[in-house]
Amino acid sequence: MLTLKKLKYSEFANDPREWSVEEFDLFHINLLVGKNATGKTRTLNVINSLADLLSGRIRSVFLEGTYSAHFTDGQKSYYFELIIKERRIEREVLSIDGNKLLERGEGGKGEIFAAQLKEKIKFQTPENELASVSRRDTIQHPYFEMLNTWGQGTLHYSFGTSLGKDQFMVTRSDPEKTPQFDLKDTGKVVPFFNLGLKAKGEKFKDAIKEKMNSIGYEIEDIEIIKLKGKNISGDLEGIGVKEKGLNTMVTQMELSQGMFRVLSLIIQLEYCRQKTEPSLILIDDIGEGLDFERAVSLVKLLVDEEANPKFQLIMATNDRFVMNNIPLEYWSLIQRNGSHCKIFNHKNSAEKFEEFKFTGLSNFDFLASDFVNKVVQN
Amino acid sequence: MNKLAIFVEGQTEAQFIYKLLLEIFGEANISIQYEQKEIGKKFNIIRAHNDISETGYYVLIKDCMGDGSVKSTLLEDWERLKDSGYKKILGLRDVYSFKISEAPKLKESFNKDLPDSIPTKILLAIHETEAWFIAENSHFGRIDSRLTKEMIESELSINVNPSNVENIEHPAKVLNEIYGLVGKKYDKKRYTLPITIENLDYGELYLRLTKDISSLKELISELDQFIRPQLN
Repeated sequence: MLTLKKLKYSEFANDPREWSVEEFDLFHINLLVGKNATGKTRTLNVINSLADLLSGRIRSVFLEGTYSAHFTDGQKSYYFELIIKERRIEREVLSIDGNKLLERGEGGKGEIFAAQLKEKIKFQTPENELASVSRRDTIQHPYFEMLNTWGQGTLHYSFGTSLGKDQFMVTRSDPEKTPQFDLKDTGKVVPFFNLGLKAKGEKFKDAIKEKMNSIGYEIEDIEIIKLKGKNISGDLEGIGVKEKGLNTMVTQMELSQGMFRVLSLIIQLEYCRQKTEPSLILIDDIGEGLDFERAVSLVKLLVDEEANPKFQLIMATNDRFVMNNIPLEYWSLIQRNGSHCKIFNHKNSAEKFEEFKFTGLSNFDFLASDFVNKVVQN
Repeated sequence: MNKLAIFVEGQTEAQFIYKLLLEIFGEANISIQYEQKEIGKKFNIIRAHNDISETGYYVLIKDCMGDGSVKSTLLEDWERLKDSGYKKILGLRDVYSFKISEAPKLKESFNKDLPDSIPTKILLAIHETEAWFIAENSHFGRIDSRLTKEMIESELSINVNPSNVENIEHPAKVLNEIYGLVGKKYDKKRYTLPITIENLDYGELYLRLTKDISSLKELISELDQFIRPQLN
């Protein structure tokens, strides 16, 4: 499994749409913090877009973007570079431990190492498709599989959104025919729960109940239930939850937004594990809409139990409680100067991060206080 | 009215201080208000003792919900408290998760640049407040008569004598291990915490244990100094 170690990105250089983030390090657990409109969400979107490209989920490249990404599988270093201009790939490079295995330029032409032939061969692919996707071949180019698996296993959740609260499932006439859903479609929590239940039964349900309880939501049962109501037409199913102290199932529409977000995230992570081992989980606005105890418990669950050591975790937040409960070692502090962003962390600003810890102030003050400026000037 | 504010990092410290104040000042002589930080900057009243107008001393305990929040919240509230006539403002936080060896540096840096027109100080519990609970080792027997010092020492090789507790790296974890010997647990949760808090002998903590525990002695000295002018 690959871990993303460094990333650099830019788009539309010397254009009013210009935006870039300088090369920054990533760790096993990361909390992206910064004042509003500094580029937290955009940085997560960039990482997710790279994953979508490498997984083949997006076959035709978008308008513009220049990526350079370093990965590791724990032993070898992977370097991937991609330059897209006007919906065409200008450059695509993959090297492992410094050995260039793929290099393509304009016109879709390039050279690629063929493992069984033990030589580099020339190729030409459509200009708008990644060679690392269109040339996948487990015999001749097995090294692309790692990138593809990383892309497939990268999931992106926007915690500040409904996370599927307003999406339901149509009751199927033939329950044996199980449709497939894209794991990256984070609104499909009802079918994910349904499929998880079919595959693992009570075990799946118990895992979700246990995690919800650990966060402070006392759930006795969770089921797929038929939805009724004046605004519901046809046979629709959704998630129903029985909370401790209540005699009836509460439908997903009636649950609080905060509670549903937590439930949705837990279901999706649990189901995802059945299908594939996630490589990277991106969560934007973590803690949004939750009270202190639940925000802190959710983050603790993600950091201590879910991610460690199973997948890499990158979260972004504006939430004071979350910030105060995530050690500074996990922080990536983003600063924007015009259209250029720079990320500071305990590695590239070690002295200032260490100095701040001894002030006794809360982590939130690291963001709110003058320390940020000191870090930047440093 | 003598008014004191104490900022603490969590409900463990808040509940402990609450009981300790009642012991030191006497239940009839003090009014206490315990507030807990909620969403945003709002504080909710959790518990109160006596009306402020009934006693000579008023102590406001503010649970800041997090060790890192003690100094930040104290600084946010300091001006308002000073203007409201508070005579003294204290903060109390654990040394943990820093190393015990870093305690002197922490004490100095945490107290650096604090406003000083009224006495203001941040105190440290070494290594955690739970070290003081362990030191008050008679409470183990009140929780379960099987929990003797000898049993704890032979089962866990832990010395629970007051002179040793400031050497324990993670007292909350050790306390949980001790309770675990009789199938109980210490986890700082709202429902389990009172088992400890209600069984501590606060007279013992106030009068005897300060001799061996420097961090507890400092806290009690600050409270004594606050009360002394009236006593004299």
